[in-house]
Amino acid sequence: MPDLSTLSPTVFVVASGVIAIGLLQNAIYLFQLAVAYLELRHREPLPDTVTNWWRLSDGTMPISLLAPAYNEEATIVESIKSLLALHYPNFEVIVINDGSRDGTLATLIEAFGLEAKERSFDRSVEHKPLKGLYGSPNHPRLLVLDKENGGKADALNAGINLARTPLFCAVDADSLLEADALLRATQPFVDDPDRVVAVGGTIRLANGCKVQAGRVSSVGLPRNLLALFQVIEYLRAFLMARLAWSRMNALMLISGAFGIMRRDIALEVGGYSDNTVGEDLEIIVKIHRHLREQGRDYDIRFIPDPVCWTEAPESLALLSRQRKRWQRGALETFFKHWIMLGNPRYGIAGVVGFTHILIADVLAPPVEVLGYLLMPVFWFTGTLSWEFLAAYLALTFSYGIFVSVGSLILEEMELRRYPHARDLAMLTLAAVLENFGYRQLNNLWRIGGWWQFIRKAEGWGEMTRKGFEKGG
Amino acid sequence: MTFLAAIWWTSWFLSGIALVVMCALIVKRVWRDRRARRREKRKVQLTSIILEAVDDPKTMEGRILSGIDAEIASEVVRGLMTVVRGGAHERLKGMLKDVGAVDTYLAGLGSRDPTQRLMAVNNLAFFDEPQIKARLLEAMGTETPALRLAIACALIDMESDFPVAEVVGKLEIGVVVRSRNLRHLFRQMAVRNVQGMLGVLGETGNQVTRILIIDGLARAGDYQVVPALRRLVEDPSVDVRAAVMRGFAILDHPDASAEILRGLNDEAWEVRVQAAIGAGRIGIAEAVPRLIVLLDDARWWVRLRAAGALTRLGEAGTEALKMAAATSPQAAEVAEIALLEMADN
Repeated sequence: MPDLSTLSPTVFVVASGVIAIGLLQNAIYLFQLAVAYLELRHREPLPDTVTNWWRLSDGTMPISLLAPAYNEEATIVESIKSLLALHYPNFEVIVINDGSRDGTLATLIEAFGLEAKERSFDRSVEHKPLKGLYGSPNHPRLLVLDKENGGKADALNAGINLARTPLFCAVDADSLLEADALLRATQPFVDDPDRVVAVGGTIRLANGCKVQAGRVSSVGLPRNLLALFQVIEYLRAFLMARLAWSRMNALMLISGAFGIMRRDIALEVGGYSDNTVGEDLEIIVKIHRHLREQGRDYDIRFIPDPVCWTEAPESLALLSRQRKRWQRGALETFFKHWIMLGNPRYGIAGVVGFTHILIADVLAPPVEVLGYLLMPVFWFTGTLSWEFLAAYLALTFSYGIFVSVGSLILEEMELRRYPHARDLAMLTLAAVLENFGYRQLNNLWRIGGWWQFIRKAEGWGEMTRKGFEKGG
Repeated sequence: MTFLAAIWWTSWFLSGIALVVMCALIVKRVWRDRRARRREKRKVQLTSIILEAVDDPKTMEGRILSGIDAEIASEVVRGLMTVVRGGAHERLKGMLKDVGAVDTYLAGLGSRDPTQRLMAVNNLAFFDEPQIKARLLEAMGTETPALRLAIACALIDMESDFPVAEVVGKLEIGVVVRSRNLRHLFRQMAVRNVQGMLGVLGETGNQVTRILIIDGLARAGDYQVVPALRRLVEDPSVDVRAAVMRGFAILDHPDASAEILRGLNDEAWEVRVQAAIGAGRIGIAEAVPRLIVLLDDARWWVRLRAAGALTRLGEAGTEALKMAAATSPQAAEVAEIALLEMADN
């Protein structure tokens, strides 16, 4: 057995480091909660959808929905039908079949009566070769682009090239947008057309909801425990974190499942980067960097009201694959743009936004996991005082309860999307329980993401979909 | 208490407070849901009474709605007013006044919640009365851009005189209100009051306001604006000149031919683009030689619009386009697009 008395300074340093990171993270969460609350209280007044449509549709900007699809044969038709039924005056849907190996393209051709079509476009950003373009006389808003496989970023770049509208909206092929989601999400572009360059909306989980004709007809909670914990996670991420950063113009991420950008700005930064799995994070960081370097006044916003519903993984295997990929994407982006870290040249995006990526995505996972391993050992061997352990347990468990329940409070006070009081009770229970095991598991997966990053792993891995629960 | 112990106790204190608040919200939700169900039931009953009263006002005589009934009735009547016109609309307006809704809406203008203020503005738009207009104009001093715009829209919805200069001044365009929805508002203002808009155009130095007015006047389709636009053809601002060319194209009046031809030679590509569009739309045959030259313009958009314009200038234009395409690769590229789009149409 080692001489434990000589470990005390080391123990002190390790323990202090773990506590310090934990304190910093929780202080950030507390700050985010407060700012998010202010943002929700003072957000722009929201006219009802009817008023929006008939009074304001003249001011809306044409938009292209870009939906990359890879092996989506089972769900693609329903997804595209729901996109085509969105309530928006002027839009097109561009499905990019990214070299699917199943019958995705054939299914689309048959379902929509697609025919070969010509359309000229400027090849402003590079992507893998195209194989064909299809349109339908019955669905004039729909275009299907067939190309060689190149990944999601590559597919989106092809879509950006083909789009002729000033805005584009990147969606996942299985995203279910609410009918007026585009009208609401494009409002910042209408209100401040010169400054706003990108807008993100809320992603909510469709697990447990009833879906009818491509719309969530009834909101419910998942029966699967993993999915239930993810509901809380998503509330924290969107209602708390993104809202807070948006208010400070330090929003570094807009979800790839539902994000709207100005096409000209995306082209200025060279489109999506194809050398990262975190292409949605990377393009926003790139935009911040580019516009700050140019000294331009701009705004990247998050608004909580337009909603996109998506399916969350319900198995440990799929969830771990997703989280490792997200971690890898965050690290790839961080090290690619490390020059922004704490750099006043990049304003609040560099000093605050990018520093937060360092704390939350780079340092926190390994430090927290180190804490899980070492702190109990230190205490058990008598080298760590009870006070240190108590502080550590508080930062690991009980502060987490406060943050999760705090996000739920925001949801109930300002948005009230869950229809029943019993849903709130269930979510409150989940908000407590997720801190005892689920959050720790997440950090372990993020260490897996670190390992993949160090090994320079590539690709998404297989993400199979269960499909939505039918309503009616 | 040490710092570390404080971390421990603070965490449980905060978590405890959060859980207590959440429990209170759950209880409140139970109560709120029950109240909503009761309200919905009463709404169904009141809707049938109101619909009956729209057809036969005598059925409402002697019936006084107050409290929650007045609130629900206002909501129902307000919804019906967006879908009915004529006598029924007037009867519904009378009902809103009878239940005191107008006073509620006026009070709502002072609410701290911007969404409540917005709802109040949208509701007051139905009441074209001097004191309501005065209150709305006063409320335009708000810091919230969406509210200023909504008030302007509400004022334009009213039938009576619309104070163009005052409303435009209060919008503080480009400073407070920057919305694209201003275009819609200005188009409506131009239809209602061309002279007023021309007056503001002559006085304002705000470039954005001038562009909005030009757009609005052009879309109003009143040819008396052509002389005013002519005076702006040599404005120092590129955006204003481009807006003027666009305005001529929209007006589609041959009197603008000389200005369009001048615009085809403008130093700014944005102006040349709009002039090319105008040449095609108005059908200015004299523009063909210059349009052929523009097929080799340095800017892609100018080349594309020049090609498009040539396809709209009859056989002469189309033949000139094909000949130019045969000699210039740049012209060939945009000619192909323009001829394909012509075939599609």
